[in-house]
Amino acid sequence: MKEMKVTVKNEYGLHARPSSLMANIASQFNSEIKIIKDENEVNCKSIMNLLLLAAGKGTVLKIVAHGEDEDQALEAIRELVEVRKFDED
Amino acid sequence: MEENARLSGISVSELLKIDKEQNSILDLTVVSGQEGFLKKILREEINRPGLSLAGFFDCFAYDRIQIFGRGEVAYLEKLIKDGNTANIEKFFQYDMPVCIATHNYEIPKEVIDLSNRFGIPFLRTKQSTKRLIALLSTILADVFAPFVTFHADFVSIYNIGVLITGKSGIGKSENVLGLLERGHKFICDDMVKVKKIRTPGGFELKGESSVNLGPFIEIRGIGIVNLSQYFGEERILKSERLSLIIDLQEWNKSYNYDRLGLDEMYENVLGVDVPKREIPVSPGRNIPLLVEVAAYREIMRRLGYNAADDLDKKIKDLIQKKEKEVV
Repeated sequence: MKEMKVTVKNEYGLHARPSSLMANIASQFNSEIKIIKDENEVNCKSIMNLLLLAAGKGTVLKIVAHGEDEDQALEAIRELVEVRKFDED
Repeated sequence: MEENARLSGISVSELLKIDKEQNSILDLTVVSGQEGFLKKILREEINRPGLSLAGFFDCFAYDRIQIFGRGEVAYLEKLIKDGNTANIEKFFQYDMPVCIATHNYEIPKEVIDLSNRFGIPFLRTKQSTKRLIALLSTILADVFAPFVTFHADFVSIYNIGVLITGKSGIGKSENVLGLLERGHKFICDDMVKVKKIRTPGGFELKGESSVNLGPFIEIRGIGIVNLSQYFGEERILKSERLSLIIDLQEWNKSYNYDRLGLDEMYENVLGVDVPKREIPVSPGRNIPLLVEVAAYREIMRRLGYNAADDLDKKIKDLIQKKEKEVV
């Protein structure tokens, strides 16, 4: 089990399109991937779960991955959130 | 899509058959010239032969359907009364597809003889000239419309024509049974002819059976089923406007299916963009229900509502509210 913290950097935060991108990327890995924000823990492969976080710009999310490809999964999600900024902005 | 064609023409007997199929709306009866029943009508336009009967044969559009209204018939009678039939004879030497007289006017015997001699069919209708021309234009526009043929099923869901495509064996026909069970209507199975019809607002696509043999469907493991016997005649339609394409696909793990529905997909059919959704098929998915919901979504889209948009706005509002709380 590995974990990592990422900061949401795009203007509108984790709304529909970013959530869909994140769920699609997470779905490509076999690992179980969870996102933790405050007291909420959600499944990273579910769009509806991600939307419920209502994570705005600047929010810090803890990503927890568990499985054979956990390292690659964490790196892919970090890249999406912090580097690609969900292809927005 | 398998071909892109346009009918090259219909014979006079085919025109009579179409009229019969449409409850004799044109009300055509045969006067003479049966020998020419296999003559092809190659053009959508019609012609009023007044000028030619008066002796002016330049630019005579003889390859069109010739309509004899009150004026033409009266002129024929006058020519015959005057013993001046040279123009009529010359007229019948042109290779015309068919002549039609309106208002059930009596056709002079001399004209009937010429029509028989040259094998030019002469028909008659009790319709007025104006109405005949309007009806003929509609029917011929349909006959001559460009079309493509799809290996697909075509159903009407909430009056939305839905074309269901997908590989052979993916379950298109079974899906149609499920949709009929849910109360929707059947148009055709396996071969769907989609025509491009001109309308006052542009073009629209109309789907119908490419060969109208009846509401038969083939279900693997059962065989041929007559749907009108099983579900009732009222659940069978002859044609419908094509409004949505559903492509059934084998589930491909690495393909990113649309999970939001924020963006619309289209398929271009004969130059008209038709909304399209791809639905992955896998065990446990109730495909008829999914297709029905996709049709419902299409109705809502036309009314300007998109659920993904709606939810997205709500989430953005929620995020903003939270940000304000933090500040």
